[in-house]
Amino acid sequence: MGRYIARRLLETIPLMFVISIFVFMFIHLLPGDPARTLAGVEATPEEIEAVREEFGLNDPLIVQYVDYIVGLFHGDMGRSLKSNIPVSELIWSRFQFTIQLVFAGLIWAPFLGIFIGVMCAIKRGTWADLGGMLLAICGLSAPGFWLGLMGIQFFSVKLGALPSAGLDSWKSLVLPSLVMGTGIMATLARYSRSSMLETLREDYVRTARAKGQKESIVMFRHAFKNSLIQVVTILGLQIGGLLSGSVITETIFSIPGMGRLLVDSIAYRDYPAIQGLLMIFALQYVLINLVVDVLYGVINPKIRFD
Amino acid sequence: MRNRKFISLALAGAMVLSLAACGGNNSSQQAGTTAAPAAPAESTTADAAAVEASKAAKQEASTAKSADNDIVVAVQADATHLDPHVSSNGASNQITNEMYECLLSFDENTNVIPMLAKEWSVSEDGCAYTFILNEGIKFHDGEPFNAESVKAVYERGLADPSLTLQRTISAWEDVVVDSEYQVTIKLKEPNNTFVNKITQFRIVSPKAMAMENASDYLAKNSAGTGPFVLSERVDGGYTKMVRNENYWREGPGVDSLTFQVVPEDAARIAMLQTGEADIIYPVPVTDVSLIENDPSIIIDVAPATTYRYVTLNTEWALPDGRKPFSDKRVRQACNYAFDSEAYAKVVFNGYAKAPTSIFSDSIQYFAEQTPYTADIAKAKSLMEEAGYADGFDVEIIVDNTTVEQKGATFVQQQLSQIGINVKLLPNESTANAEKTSAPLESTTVQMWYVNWASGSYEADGSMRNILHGEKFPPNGYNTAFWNNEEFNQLLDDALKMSDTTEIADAYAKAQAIAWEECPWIFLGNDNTINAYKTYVTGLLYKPGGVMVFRTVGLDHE
Repeated sequence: MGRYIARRLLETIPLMFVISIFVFMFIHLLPGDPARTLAGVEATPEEIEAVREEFGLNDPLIVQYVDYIVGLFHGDMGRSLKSNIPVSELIWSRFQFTIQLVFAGLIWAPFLGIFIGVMCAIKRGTWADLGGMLLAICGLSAPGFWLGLMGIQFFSVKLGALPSAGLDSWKSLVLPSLVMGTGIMATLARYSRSSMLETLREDYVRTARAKGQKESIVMFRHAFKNSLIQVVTILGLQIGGLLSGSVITETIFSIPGMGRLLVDSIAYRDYPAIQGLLMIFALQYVLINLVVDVLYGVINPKIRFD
Repeated sequence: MRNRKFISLALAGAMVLSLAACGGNNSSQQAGTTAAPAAPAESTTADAAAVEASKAAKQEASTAKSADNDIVVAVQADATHLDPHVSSNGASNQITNEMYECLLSFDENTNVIPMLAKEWSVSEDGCAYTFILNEGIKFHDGEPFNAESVKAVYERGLADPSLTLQRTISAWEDVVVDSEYQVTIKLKEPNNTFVNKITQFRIVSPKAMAMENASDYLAKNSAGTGPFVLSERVDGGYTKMVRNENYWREGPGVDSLTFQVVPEDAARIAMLQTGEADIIYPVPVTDVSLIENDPSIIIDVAPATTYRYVTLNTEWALPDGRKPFSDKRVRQACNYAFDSEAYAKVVFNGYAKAPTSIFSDSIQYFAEQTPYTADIAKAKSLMEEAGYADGFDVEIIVDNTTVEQKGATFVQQQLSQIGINVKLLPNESTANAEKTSAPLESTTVQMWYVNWASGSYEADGSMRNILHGEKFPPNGYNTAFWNNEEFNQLLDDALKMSDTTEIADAYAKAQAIAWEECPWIFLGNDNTINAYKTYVTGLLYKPGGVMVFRTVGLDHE
C-alpha cells in the first residue's frame, strides 16, 4: 500500500502540470484588464501602462507562464496584483477560515446524514422512511443563502443568541455550520439509503440471514459496512467542494475564506491569486481522491492496490 | 419548559413563513406583530424626508448604550491596499483617511478647511501655493511632520509612476521647502483643481517611504498623522485601528475603530440591529424600511457625488448608415421620454435625486439647469422631425449587478415609448471596462449605462474624463464620442483660471452646453445612506455624505 500511495503521489506532478497549463490559459482568455481595474477609473493611459509594466503584464504569455512555473518550483506563487500580498500568504490566511468552516460542517452532517439514510433503508416504506427522506429533500432544496439569512434573523436578530458575522468564537461557527452541513447531510442521507437498500438485496446478506445471524449483525457487519463504499466516494467529493470554500456561506456570514477570495480575485483579474487558488483546489481534489481510494481498501480488503 | 420550547419553535416557523412572504418587513422592537406588507414605492419618497426629520428626535429619546468603547463599521467592500499612495478606490480611501491626513480638506458643504496646513495662499499668477504648516505634529512612527515630509511625498510620486499619487502631482513643477514649517508647491501652469487634488495628497512619514519595501511596510503599519493607528488587518475580513494617543488636535473618544467587510446587504442590516456593528454603510435602498422604525437606529441620507447617466454614442451607425445619436433631436427625445422622477422612485425607492445638471450638486461649481420634464408627445415629435418616427434598435452595455440591471431595464422601458428598442447587454464590470475603453475605430458601444463620481469633488474631474473631446477612449471614458469645441475650450480655460467667479461662470456655461446638447440621457444622482446606533456621537462628514471618524465617540456603559 505504501508503494501504491507513493506512486499515486508521483502521478500528481504531471497531472498538476497539465492543470496549470489549462488554468493559465483559461484565466488569460477572460476578457478584462487587471491593470485598468487596479489603476482605477480616473487613471490616464500612461498610469495604466505603468501598472501593466510593473506587474509584467506586457510580457508575452509564454514568458509569463514560464515565470510562473519557475516560481512555483521555487515555492513562490507570486504576489497578488490587488493587495500586493504574496499569494501563498494570502491563501494560507484564507485557508484557516475555510478549514474552520469545513470542520464545522463535517462535525455533524455526515454522521447524521448516514444515520438517517441507513435508518430509512432499514425501515423502508414506513413513516420513518418517509419523514427521513422528506427531511433530506428539504435539506437539498433549501438554498444556503436562504437558510443563512433565516438563521441570522432568528438566532441573531430576534434571540440575540448567536453572532451574525465573523469568526470570533465557537458561537459564531454555529450558524455557518448549519448552512455548510445541511446540504451534506441531505445528500448523504439519500445516497446512504439507496446504497444500503442495494446492499440489502445482495446474496451474502440473504445468506447471512439464512445462517440465522442476528439481524443487528446482518445489518451492521454485512450490509452497512459494504454500503459505505459509495457513501465514501460521495463524501470525498463533498469535502473537496467544501475545501474550495463556500462563497455563499462566506458571504452571508462575512468570513474571509477561500471562496470569497476566488470571487474577488476574478473580479479584479488578479491572475496570480486566481492561479494559486485553482492550483490549490485541484491539488486538494487529487489528494482527497487518493484518500478515498485508500479508504476503499480499508472498508473492503478485497479491493487491491496494484 | 417543554411548552415554551414548543411555542418558540412554532413562532420560529411562523416567522420564517411571514418573512418569506413579505421580504422581511420588520424590525426588532416589532417582534411578534404581524408584518405589514411592503410599502409601495411612492410612499418612500416622503419617507426620505421623514427619516431625516426624526433623526434628532430619535437621538434625544433613545437611552440605548454601547456595551464597549470600540466602534465597528460594517462596510460592503474591502480596501485594496492600505498604502495610501497605491490604493485607488473609495473603500480604501475611507479607511486610509482615518490614518493619513492631507494639507487641506473639505467639509460636508465642499468648503476647503485647514488640516495639516493652518494657512495657505496662492501667488498672483496662480502658479505657486504656499502652505504654513501646523507645528509639533508627529507621525505614528515618531517622526516629526514638517515641510521636508511634504516634499518627500512628492518625490515618492516622481520616482514611481505606478502609484496613484501620480495623478495628484502630474501638474506640479516643484515642491520648495521655504522653512521648517513652510512649503511652496509650484505648478507648471495655473490649475483650479489644485486645491481639490491637495485634499487627496496624503502625507506619509518620510522614514516609512524610504524603506526598501515601503508598500509592504505600509500594508501592515500606518505611518500617518491621523487620529487612528493601524492595529491589525485580515485581508477581506477587517481592518482594526486604535486611537492615536499622541494625536495633535481633538481626537476620537473611542478606543478603537474597526472596518468589517460585510458584503451581504441583509447581514449588514442584521449586524446593526444586533449591535454587532455600530455603523453600517451603505444601506441598500430597499432595506431602509427594515430599520427606519427602530428607535435605536438613525438613518443618514445625503446626496452622493455619484451621478448616473447613459452615454449615447454619437458616431454609432445603424445598418443603413444613419447615425441616430448624432442628431441632437434624437438625444433630446430620449431625455424627454425618460421620467427621472419615476426612475428615482422605482430604481432607488425614492433615495435618489432627479438630475438638474450634468453632475451632482455636492460638487463645486454646480449650476442648476432646467430639467427635461418627461413629455412623451414632445419626445415623439422630436423623433419624427429627426426622421426616426419608427424608432430603431440599439444595444446598451450595463454591469450585471441587480441595481444596475434594474436601472437599465427602466431605461429600456422608457425608450420603448418612443419606438427605441433597447437590448440589454449585461456583463461583469471588468469585462465591460475592456469594451468601453476601445477606441472609436473598434468600439462596440452604442449606449452605456454607467455612473461617475469625482474623488476630489471637482467640476473639472466631473466632466473632463467623460465629456471632453480629447477624452475619447482609451484616453478617457467619453463613450458618447461627443466633441464640442466650445465646451472643450471652456473646460480648458477654466482649468487655468484662479478667480472663483470666473471659474464658476465658465463651468456654468459648460454645463449649460452639455445639458442642451445632451450626449447622455441624464438619469439622476444617488443618495448616500448610512445608518448608525443612537449612541454614536461626533460623526463628521465630507461632501457626498462620506463619514469622517476623527471625533467619533460612543455613549457606553
